[in-house]
Amino acid sequence: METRERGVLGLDLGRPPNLPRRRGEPAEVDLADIQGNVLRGYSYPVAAYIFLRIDDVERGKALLGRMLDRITTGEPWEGDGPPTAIQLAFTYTGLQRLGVPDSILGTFPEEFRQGMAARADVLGDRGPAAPERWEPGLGTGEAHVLVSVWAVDDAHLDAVREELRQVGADAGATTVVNETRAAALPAGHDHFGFYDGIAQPAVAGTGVAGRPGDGQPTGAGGWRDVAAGEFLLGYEDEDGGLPAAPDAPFDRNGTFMVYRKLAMDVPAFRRLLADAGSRYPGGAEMLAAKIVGRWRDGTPLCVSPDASDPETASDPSRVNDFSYADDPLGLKCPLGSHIRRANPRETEGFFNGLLTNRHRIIRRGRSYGPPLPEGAEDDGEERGLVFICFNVDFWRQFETIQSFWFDDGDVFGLGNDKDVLVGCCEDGERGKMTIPGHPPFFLSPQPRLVTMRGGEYLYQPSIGALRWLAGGAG
Amino acid sequence: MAARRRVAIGGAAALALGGGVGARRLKALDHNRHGTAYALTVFSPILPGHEEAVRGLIEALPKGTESPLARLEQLHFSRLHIFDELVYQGEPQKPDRLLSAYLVFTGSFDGGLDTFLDDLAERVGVDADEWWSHCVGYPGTADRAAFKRWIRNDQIPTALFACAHPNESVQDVRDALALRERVLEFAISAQGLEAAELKARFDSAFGDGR
Repeated sequence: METRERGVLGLDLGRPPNLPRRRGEPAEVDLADIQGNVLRGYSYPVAAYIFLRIDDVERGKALLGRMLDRITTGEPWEGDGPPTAIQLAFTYTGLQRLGVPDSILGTFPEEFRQGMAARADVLGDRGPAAPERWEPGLGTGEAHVLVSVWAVDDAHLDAVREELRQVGADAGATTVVNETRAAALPAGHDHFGFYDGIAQPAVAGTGVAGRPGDGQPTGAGGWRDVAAGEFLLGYEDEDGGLPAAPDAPFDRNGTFMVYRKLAMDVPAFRRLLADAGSRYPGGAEMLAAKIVGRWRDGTPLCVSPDASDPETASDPSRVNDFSYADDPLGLKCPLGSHIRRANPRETEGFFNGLLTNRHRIIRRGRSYGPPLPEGAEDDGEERGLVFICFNVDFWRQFETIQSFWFDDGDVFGLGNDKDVLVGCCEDGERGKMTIPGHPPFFLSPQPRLVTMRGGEYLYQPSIGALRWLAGGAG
Repeated sequence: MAARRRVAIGGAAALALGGGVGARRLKALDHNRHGTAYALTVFSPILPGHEEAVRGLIEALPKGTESPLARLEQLHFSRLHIFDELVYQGEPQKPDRLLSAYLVFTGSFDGGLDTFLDDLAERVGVDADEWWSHCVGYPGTADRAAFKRWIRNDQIPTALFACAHPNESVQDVRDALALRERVLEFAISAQGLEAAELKARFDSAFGDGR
């Protein structure tokens, strides 16, 4: 593979570590065997997340077999891509139901076998977010398969759903136990009004060049891609070995998936900004930016602490290119802001990012529910985010971020402070966020803004493993 | 830490030469102490066939404030675990087989070892007898002198341990945390006050030096 720059004399000058890698390298990972949504974020306007219970194993396998050639792979698209994309993932009870032998089932990690509901204590799913309050069909063991469908429009989405219904329900093979339709909001904003989904880890060996800020800090002001083995089984990880994986055929090109349906209380968020924003010297919009770590348009506070900067926000090479090294006290971007908690980069105590590189996740979230127009009264509608992420180790990656970085403040020197957006206070706790400044500002009390509505830990197999599950080979 | 290590090396070298200065230095160096914290490390061979019983016992022990060890107010941190085998971490790997599995007790605490063992026997005796009774030669806490001899016999020098607050007692740390909470509560409640009002409120909250 020849990717290095050559100088005028033909000498190999190497690639300075502070220059981002360029596009156009051949992929080292087996894109044709990987489901498409792992390494590519879909921009389809509509999607549906459909959890199926397998009622009849043989018919369920037959349905799986018929879907095989419809599953979107990670191969590059020519043009705009297909009008629909479909991916499949399985819960532990789903793999059991499909008859995966115990000798293989036992090699899956404990968190996956327990399922997300059993991890409620670790994840902070308490009170109104507790598993017994979740939507029907989730956290009970009856959700076996997650069929995720994206489409260019509702008609295409409905067609796939109808197909699923006919060959599934009519034949007695499967029953839909939970479903969420999700439509992209205008201008890529989430319900709280922020441009979302900006930061993703740059993954080595995928043939796609990472943007500055997406990978891991090199310690010399530059960025390097994150090893593929942090997100895909069967590849070298950041530790230089292969990640722990279940036995074949699940040991390669598969990954573990987190599904969390998070209701967002938009009126409560707007009340918080109006109320605390009237007391915060910087005003409501700056308070919103301090909570998140970015202005609403995505401009990082680290780049532009006093106001949003549309030029930065619209430049892919700059919108994520920043460091926390020159902001140890969080005077620009608070230590407890959402994005700094989610990925502390080279925040003091994280040794130039050496203590963040094994806690990265690929996020594939998508909003659901109707937007609430600015200034509108509470309409009582549920809206929020279907949070999805991929990692190879639930505990080391997603759960560490959720439990230690969002639901606690100790690691950042913030005591019991929790993330304002997704951290939730115990009963009787008022909660606060500390916004450093002279003087600092304490955002308190901290209302519940996000409530977990249900979720599952899933395994998303490779294309080959899907074929094996359907009984085609194995 | 680096300075302490240099003392250790210097001391040992001097001792090898038979120097009296080195011997005094070595005596001053306590492998089990960091600041005012003492670290106890005990490796006890598990009786053949008792491995699973003791594993089940320690896995079932409640953690945090419910742990029997939480009854020892001088305890910073403690851990009970089992060494099945030791794997050499370098290249090439060569597994070292132990003659038996070991029950390992580690703990860091304020004060001295003797007081700690007395408190352990008195407050955690029933639980400790359960887990250590699966180890070779354990006499039980009822015979206090024999218990202490047995612990010291299985004790190894800790040599390197981390203690977040080596110069503060556990009670000092608890007090400091409580004060931090009080200051934070005050800061939140006094947010935005004018200087005179702020001073008056501060004096009434902290003025008596509490």
